[in-house]
Amino acid sequence: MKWKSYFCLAGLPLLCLVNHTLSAQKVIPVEDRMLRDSIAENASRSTKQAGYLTVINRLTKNTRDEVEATRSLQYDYQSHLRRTLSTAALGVSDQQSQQQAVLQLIHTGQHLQDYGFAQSLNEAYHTLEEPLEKSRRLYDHLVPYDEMKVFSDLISFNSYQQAQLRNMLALEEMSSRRKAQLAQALRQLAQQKIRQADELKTKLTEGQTFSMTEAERLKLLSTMQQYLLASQQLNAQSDELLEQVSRPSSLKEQALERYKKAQIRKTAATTPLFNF
Amino acid sequence: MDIAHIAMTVANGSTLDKQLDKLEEQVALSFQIEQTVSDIYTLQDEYQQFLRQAESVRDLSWANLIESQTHALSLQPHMDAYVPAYENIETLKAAYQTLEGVGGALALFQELDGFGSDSPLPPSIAALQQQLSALSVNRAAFDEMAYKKKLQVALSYNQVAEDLLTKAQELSQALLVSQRFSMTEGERLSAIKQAHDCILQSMDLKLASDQFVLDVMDEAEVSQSGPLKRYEHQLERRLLAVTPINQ
Repeated sequence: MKWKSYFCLAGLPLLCLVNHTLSAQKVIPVEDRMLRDSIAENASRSTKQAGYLTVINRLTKNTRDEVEATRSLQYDYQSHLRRTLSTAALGVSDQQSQQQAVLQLIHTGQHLQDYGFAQSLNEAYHTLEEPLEKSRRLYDHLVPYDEMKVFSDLISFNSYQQAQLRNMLALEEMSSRRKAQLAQALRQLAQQKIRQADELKTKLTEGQTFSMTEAERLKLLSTMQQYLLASQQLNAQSDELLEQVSRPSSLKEQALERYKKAQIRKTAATTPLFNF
Repeated sequence: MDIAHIAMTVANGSTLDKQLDKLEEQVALSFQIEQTVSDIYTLQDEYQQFLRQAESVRDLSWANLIESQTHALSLQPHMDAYVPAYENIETLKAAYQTLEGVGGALALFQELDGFGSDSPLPPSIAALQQQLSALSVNRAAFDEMAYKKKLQVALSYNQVAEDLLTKAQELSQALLVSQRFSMTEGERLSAIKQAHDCILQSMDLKLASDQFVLDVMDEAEVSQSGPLKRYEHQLERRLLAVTPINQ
């Protein structure tokens, strides 16, 4: 660019000379011609400037549009990250039924209400708030020896023992009922896990739904693998719990045996000696 | 027309020239900026498209969950598949199949434990015997199902263990090849840990599989020795009954 301005400054006398020789026939004052030429030159410079400005204007507009597009792309992306709809429809995000199953298990008191003879035990769970007192009450109800109580006669001793035996039985029964329920919940969970894994897999490898890096995808695939494995584990665990339910405790076995003997005695007592 | 006017115009021209210079420079700059911004846009757009693509993980064997799924699905939720021969266990079967609600659980308890507080004890020794024998059929059927299922799980654990080993190997190899996956180094490290965990887990699974088989052997022996002994006694009694006393 430097050469241009150099040319302009240095060429001024030269230009005057050329103009002078070309328009010799029509005499125009030298000053006027110089003025006209320099104005014409300025005009062409201005035209050039206008051209440049147009180009710059166009480029700037393009830039603005692209910046605008990038910004909206970023916003899109952000709102995309906030979006929960695509995952909300998945079974994985359905925690409701699992929570329901767990909630049903928690209510110890409710289970105890099934037993009329364990009323006091039920109360021990319900009314007391202090943890220490609660556990002490439970101990009193379950453990057959109490240094605070001295029984004078066999009858009251026996009835006390029996009350505690009943309490223990009630607690055992409650726990095994809860095991049955838990087993059910576990199998339910096992089936859910299979469904969830299947669903995730479809979304992950076939659909274009999820936006995530490959690391996240890999992680998720291994999660699905774990789900399927967990499903089998849960099934086995559930059956194990039910097996526990199907083997009555020694306490219950004893009680049953005693009842059986009582029945046999009763039958023997009412059977006539001679059937002739 | 005075000479000053001309001088001013000429000076004006030189200023205009300078402006032209600047403008030319500005054009070049604007062009550069436009290119860069457009590059940024393309990069962003490409990256978002890239996040949506699933091909690179699809061809890993990690994406192949079919085998694991078949194993998990092959565990039947109903008893018929395992103990079809038992009779009179319809209530137990139905109870085992219900998964929703408390009712099924309580029915299961009733069928397996037999003597709940809410069901009255049988009034006679004969009724008691009958209930006990019904109960023992239920328990035997359930045990058999549980054992069969456990063996099934044991075998499937074995296969899943193999599967996991292969997958871990593949993963750790794929991670070593650079440019293979787009992830940060932290993610890469955690992916390597994932591979390691898989190897450990596969070992655990093999152990668990063996343990299951052993468990089934032990438990079956305990639970079936009683009824078998009784059956043996019964056969002996029958033999004794038909054996004439004096030959």
